[in-house]
Amino acid sequence: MPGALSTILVCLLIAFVLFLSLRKLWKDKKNGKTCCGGGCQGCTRCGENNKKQKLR
Amino acid sequence: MAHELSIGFVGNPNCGKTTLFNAYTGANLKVANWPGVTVEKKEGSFRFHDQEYRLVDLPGTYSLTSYTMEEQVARQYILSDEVNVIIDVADASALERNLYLTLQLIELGKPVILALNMMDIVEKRGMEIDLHRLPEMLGIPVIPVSARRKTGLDILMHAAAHHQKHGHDLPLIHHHGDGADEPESRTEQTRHKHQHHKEFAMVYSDEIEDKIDLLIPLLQKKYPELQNYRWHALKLLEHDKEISSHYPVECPEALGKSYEKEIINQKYDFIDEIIQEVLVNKEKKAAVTDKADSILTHKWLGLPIFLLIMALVFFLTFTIGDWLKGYFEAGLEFFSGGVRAGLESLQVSPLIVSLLVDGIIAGVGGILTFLPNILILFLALAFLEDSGYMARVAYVMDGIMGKLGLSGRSFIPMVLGFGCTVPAIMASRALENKRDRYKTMLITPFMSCSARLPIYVLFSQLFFSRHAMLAAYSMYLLGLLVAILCAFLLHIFDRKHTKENSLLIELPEYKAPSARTIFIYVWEKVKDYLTKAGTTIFIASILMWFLLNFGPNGYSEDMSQTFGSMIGRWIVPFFAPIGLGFWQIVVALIAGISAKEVVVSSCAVLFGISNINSAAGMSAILSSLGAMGFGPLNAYALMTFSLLYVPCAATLATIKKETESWGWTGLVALFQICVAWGVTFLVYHIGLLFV
Repeated sequence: MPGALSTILVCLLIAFVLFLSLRKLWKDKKNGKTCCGGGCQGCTRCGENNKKQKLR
Repeated sequence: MAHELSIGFVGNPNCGKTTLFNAYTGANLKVANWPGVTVEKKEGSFRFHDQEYRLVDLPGTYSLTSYTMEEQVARQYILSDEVNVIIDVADASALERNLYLTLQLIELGKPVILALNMMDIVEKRGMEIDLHRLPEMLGIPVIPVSARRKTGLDILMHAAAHHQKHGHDLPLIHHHGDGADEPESRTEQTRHKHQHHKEFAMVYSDEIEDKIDLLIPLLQKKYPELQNYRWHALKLLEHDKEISSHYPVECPEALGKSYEKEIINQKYDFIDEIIQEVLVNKEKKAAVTDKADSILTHKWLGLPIFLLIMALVFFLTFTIGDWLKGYFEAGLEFFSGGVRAGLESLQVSPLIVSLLVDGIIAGVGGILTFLPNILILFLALAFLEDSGYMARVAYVMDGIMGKLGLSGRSFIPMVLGFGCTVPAIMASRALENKRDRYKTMLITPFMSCSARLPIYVLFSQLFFSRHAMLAAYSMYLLGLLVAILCAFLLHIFDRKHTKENSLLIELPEYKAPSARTIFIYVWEKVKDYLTKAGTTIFIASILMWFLLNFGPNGYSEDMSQTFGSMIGRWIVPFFAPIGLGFWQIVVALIAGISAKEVVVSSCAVLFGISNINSAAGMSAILSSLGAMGFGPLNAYALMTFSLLYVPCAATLATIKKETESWGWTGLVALFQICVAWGVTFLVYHIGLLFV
């Protein structure tokens, strides 16, 4: 029983972190951020996009 | 408390605008994209004397025409209602070059303050700027600052708040063409008939002013809601694409031809006047910069010096990075062991313990142990960038690239590729020629990005021990060589479409890199790396664990009966001829398409190594690989294939965004796979002759 409870808790923890990761990736994609987290020398083109407006 | 004051920072590239911006905002900034375009927008905020300031760092630009995305973005922002005051940051030691943008900003009609940055350099050179006369000629406040020494910052913000409240321009005192002060030698023919000198800093020739006077009433009639008719009239005379299409007027006598050249020339004539009046002891570029450039941009020495500098960067990455890595490895070992022991004591299911320890911790932890190497690499690259050296690299490569049908401007994105291919691909939009842009996008992914560094570090240390650094460095040279060869071949096949592109690049003066700028820059990159570890690599590690522990019959302790094994074995025949006929390696390479670092984290999961960088971990993986028949030549083949094959998913997404074509994106992926296969085949089989 204690083992089952611990297992469930650990699974929930992993699921929660997985959910947070997927949510972060989804939000970044939605906001136009590409994941180049390896580090970008001179990166000036990355970021979150708060509004979807076309440049007239 | 006063309402928030919105300030836009504008300036030429390398004028110290970002250093000044960072001096106010510190790390408290938000990086975003301008709406609809992938041009960086940096925003920060701070409070000063009960006044909230919102600062926006606009893209560095030399002018406000509508040729490049950066110029359009800066111009649109300034014209919008979002900005209250513009701070034009100018390099005081190169005032002549910076004033062109200043005059354009003044013509936009918004409150502008000129921040003369790098005043410490001006003082050092014994130059003097007449800070009384300059505002008189421009009609705007001029504040001397030094972003690096943090002088004048408070005064600048105070001036911004004051200028916005009590606006408008300072009295213009112009001695040029003013009837009252005109020298007696002037004749009727040389005297201006337009007496705008008290109204506008920049007054054009009678011909241009006549045309402006023709256009303003037409604009007022057709577009009563417009502000700043004079500016719009000037843009129409320049045949500015954006303004001409949005605010067309019928006036053939004014718009029959473009007056862009005349307007530019007259601006520069006025700048000459200003310089003559305000600049004392004007000096040419610093002797130190000249001497350094005579060597660093030498026709024959330039390239070898660049290669030597990159070798030094590698040396530091491997030596200092490895020393720091030891601490990370020890920490991971401790953490991994502690988690396993803890979970076992709580009687957690062995399957879940395996997922957490052998999957997630091994995968993510394995990547985190490479953080020191990544940190040192970017520290070195940031140092080179901020010192002014990286601009020289493009200049040095221009000669070579020219022979391959590309200009040195193509090399700028390629240099960015040493860090990450994503911004490198985006930087290719600076190339006006579409074919050059696409060619650059094809070859830029061959430049070895930082995400591949963990692969090189691991396998070179495993199989090449004393020559590990050389083996890893050879990947960078190989990438460069393949990129140049591919560019040459593309040039041969596309010769008739190749247009000559001239390289016009500003070489900033050499300076001691700012510790603050480097710190903020490297910190941003470290955050990105950690974010990636916590997202893409975390998810990939879980997926990999599932693929390698579950098969058609459910959970399997025998990895050869799992889904991962099945996928790997199915594709292995494609990889066998190039020395990579091992299903585990194939699975790792496929997983590496999500992010290159995943190749290493996948190996950790594949071979069941909880700490892949520890001595025990490396010994275990070496033993496993050896048992498979995987030796040094296979390792070098793996590194070569990793260097050249399909770019990561983020890069592919960027290529799709830039080209707006799935077809072209697929072509790039296919091209990369073919080149990777071909080169690895050559490398492997040439290697077999010696082994």
